[in-house]
Amino acid sequence: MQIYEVFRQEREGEPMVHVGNVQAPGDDLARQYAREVYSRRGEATRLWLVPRAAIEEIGDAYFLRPPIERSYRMGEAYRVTVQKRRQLAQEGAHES
Amino acid sequence: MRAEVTSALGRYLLTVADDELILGYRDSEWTGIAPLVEEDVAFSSLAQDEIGHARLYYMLAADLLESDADHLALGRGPDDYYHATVLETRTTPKYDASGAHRGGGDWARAVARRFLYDLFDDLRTDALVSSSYAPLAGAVQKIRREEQYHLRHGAAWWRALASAEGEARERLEGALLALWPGLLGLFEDAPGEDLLVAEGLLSRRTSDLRDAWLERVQDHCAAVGIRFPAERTAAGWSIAVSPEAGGRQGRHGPAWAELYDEMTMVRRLEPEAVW
Repeated sequence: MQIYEVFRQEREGEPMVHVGNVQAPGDDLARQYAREVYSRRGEATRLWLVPRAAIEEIGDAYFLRPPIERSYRMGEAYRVTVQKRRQLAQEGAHES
Repeated sequence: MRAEVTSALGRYLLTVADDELILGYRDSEWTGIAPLVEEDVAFSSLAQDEIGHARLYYMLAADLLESDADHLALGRGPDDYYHATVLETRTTPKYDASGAHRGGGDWARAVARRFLYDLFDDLRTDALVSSSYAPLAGAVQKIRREEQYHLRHGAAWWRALASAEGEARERLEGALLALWPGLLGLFEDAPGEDLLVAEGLLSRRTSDLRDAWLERVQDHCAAVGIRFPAERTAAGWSIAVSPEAGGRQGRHGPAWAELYDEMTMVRRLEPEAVW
């Protein structure tokens, strides 16, 4: 038995988005199961099946997050950034 | 179309529709208890597909027989169904409130029946796809597209069970032997098939599909090293058992009485109800 991670594209040109996984004894049945579970109502233009074993994971926060404070690189205090953030927050408030 | 041709085609289509409905119904009994959740979804979907195919055939038959599809599917008497008897037996354990239902199901048998029937149905739809009756040829073209997936699904399970050591393989071999006379019963002609062939409505009679089917099944057995229960001699195929016939004439086994009762239960409560 193998686990396959499933990625779906819903319209031509859109990105492949991770939608879940299936468990199957081999590629043949994995294809069938992915079709039934993730495109039974014709949602997909394309599916990718990736054996979970083929995924190289980086889950190490120590490695992913720099140890030294570098928020100055983010430009968080720039006038344009501040305005932009305010504008986004307002738009968010309107939508909700 | 002449009246006798119309009624022969209607009768033949009922045979095909009944096969699909009964197998679809029996296979749908795996919903909730298939070996893994993905397969539960896939097998249930296949069962629904078969019932969908039955619906198309019943609608075509209804036009020819001046009836309606719901009546044909669920309103006939038990002796007026023409499916092959091999399709009417249960492969799941029967639910029992006391808990005694555990055990008694046989997934290998469900897989073998499904796959070997689909191999037969592939040959049968191939004999219909160029029918001179355009509505039938059109419907069969769509049905064949779905059946390609069914065949791939069946072949994958056939290989998976056969290549597993021990119980799975033994059960598959046992299922093939147990189903064998019933599977041969699939090739019983419906009345009037000669006429349908002569009129170009059907390219080959059901009984004429048998040898091509035997060859395909033999190939699938050879591919996984399972003993094939027939032998080819210079004079043709030699088969030790006699086919379980009668289904195409409306004669069925004990499993049918129970299935008929359950399948038509709701409709019988209120036959005129509109859903």
